[in-house]
Amino acid sequence: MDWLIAHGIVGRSDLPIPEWLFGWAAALVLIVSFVALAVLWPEPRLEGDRGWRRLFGLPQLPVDVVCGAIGVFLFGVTIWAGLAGAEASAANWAPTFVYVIFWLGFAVGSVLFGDIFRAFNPWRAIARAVAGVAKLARGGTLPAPLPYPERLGHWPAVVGLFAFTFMELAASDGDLPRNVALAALAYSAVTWIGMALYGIDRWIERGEAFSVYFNLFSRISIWERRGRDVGVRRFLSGLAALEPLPGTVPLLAVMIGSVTFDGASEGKPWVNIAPDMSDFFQDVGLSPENALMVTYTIGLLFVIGIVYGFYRLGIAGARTVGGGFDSDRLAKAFVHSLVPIAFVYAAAHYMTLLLFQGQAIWFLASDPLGEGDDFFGTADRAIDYSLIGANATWYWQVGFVVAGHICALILAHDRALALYREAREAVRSQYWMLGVMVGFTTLALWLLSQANQ
Amino acid sequence: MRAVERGQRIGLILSAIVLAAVAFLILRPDDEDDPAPTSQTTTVEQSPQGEPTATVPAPEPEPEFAVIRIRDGGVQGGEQRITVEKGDVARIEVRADISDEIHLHGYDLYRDVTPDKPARFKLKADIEGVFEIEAHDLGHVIVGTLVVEP
Repeated sequence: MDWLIAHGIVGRSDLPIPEWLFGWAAALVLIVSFVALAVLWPEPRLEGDRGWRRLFGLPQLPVDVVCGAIGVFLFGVTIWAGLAGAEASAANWAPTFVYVIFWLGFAVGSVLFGDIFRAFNPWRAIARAVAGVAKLARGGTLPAPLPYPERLGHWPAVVGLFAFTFMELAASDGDLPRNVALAALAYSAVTWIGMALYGIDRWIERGEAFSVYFNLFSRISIWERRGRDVGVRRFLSGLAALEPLPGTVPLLAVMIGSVTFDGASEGKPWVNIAPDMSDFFQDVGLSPENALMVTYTIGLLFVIGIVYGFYRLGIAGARTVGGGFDSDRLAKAFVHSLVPIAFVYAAAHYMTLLLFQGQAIWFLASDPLGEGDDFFGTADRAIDYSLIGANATWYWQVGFVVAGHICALILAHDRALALYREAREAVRSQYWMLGVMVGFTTLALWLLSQANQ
Repeated sequence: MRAVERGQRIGLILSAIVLAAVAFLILRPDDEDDPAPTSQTTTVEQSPQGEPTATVPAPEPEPEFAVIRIRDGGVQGGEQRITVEKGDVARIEVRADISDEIHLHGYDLYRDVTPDKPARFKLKADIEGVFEIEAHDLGHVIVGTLVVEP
């Protein structure tokens, strides 16, 4: 009974944060929230702030070509290792690269350095190269792409992200190298079809799951590239400038819900329920493997639904204070405040995975197939698990969660000031948003206190 | 929005910081009060399966190994949890009715087990965290976890 199917590549898991720290952090969250209500600014500051200070120029084409080539090369290595290498998740390059370096590394990189994935995106690089060649062959022009249907919004990205988290957390053998490579190929096909239909840039902005995901996180950063220039903007103003589309709220629900489920699946309640559910599905005729997969998929969908429902509940509450907005409009208006929460959920939950399993990439690079090669002389390296102790991990985790809470409060507060004509309505709507934020933050802390118990 | 004076704001923030710091100090367990480092705290739940053979306690040499028993393709009493404190010596013994290779993750130790000879791990627990103990041939089943607390 391997309940840790999702963690086929993990050598060390986190200890649960102790009760006293949980209590202290929860108290801190409440103190912070009430102080925020009193001291936050009375006029919107982030709204409409498109201020930006140029720092240096960056030649666009060479950067795109070099970074794109690196992205395509790593993508190629991953497919090759996944298909041709040893069928063992820990010994093969593909699972660690996809689930740790790419998925978590770019999330952290986006917050630190801005939207760097755009330059490294292998699908974009290949599509642009193909478009360039096609343009030459056709003598200078390409047929214009179809207009992107407004109602589609971020929905393709919602489906893509859910499919990825399904592979990561619910699919049996989702961590096996071959399955990783096949999923990457299937996703490539969908991506290039989307790009061919609606244009490369449009699809990157709205449909390509990873571009949309990393772009959301990059909006937390102060770095912004405009054309050939790189500059800095006011902290969090990138999120205030986010244009919510159909599907943006479900997208955030998938982002927060999947990490929540991953955390909750380590805790006692789920560990107690899952075998019973799995037994039930075996009784109806599923194989043990499929029964487990169905069980985990239901758990994943259920938690995503809870996250979505909880946010909509807060929005329904905020609607009662007046202002005459429909709930869909309000849900979109405040969705950007969930982005820092989504990031700190991932950061707190996956920090040690990135720090420890991330080290594995050094020896996997020397032996990507897991067949005993040693290309760079690093194949014998081991993971240094003493890099960060349990106490330091706990403080970082709590620090991330509280910081995300503060960012979310600031964003929601600023938006409320811009949205409501009456200052009193703005403040009263924030009681509801505050409830949502405190709920999400306490949930994050609770999950950390339940980890691996 | 209620107008709050600049001085009031700073005062509020300062008092909040003081409040948070006080809460931290009160809730944080005082390391100094801890008794001298305890000896190995090994906890293994023995859950008898109703089999009479399980009631015979084998006389173990001191200090005791925490025992994980693999039988009929599963772990007796479910996945075992062995808790030690950092710096202590962890002693884990895996007995099985099959031959297998047992892998202690993180510390990356491998020991062979046969029906005649148990796999014995004896290690200084100097890395904190939760580490899986896995039976490789049994379909990579997790038979137990080693928990090293700070």
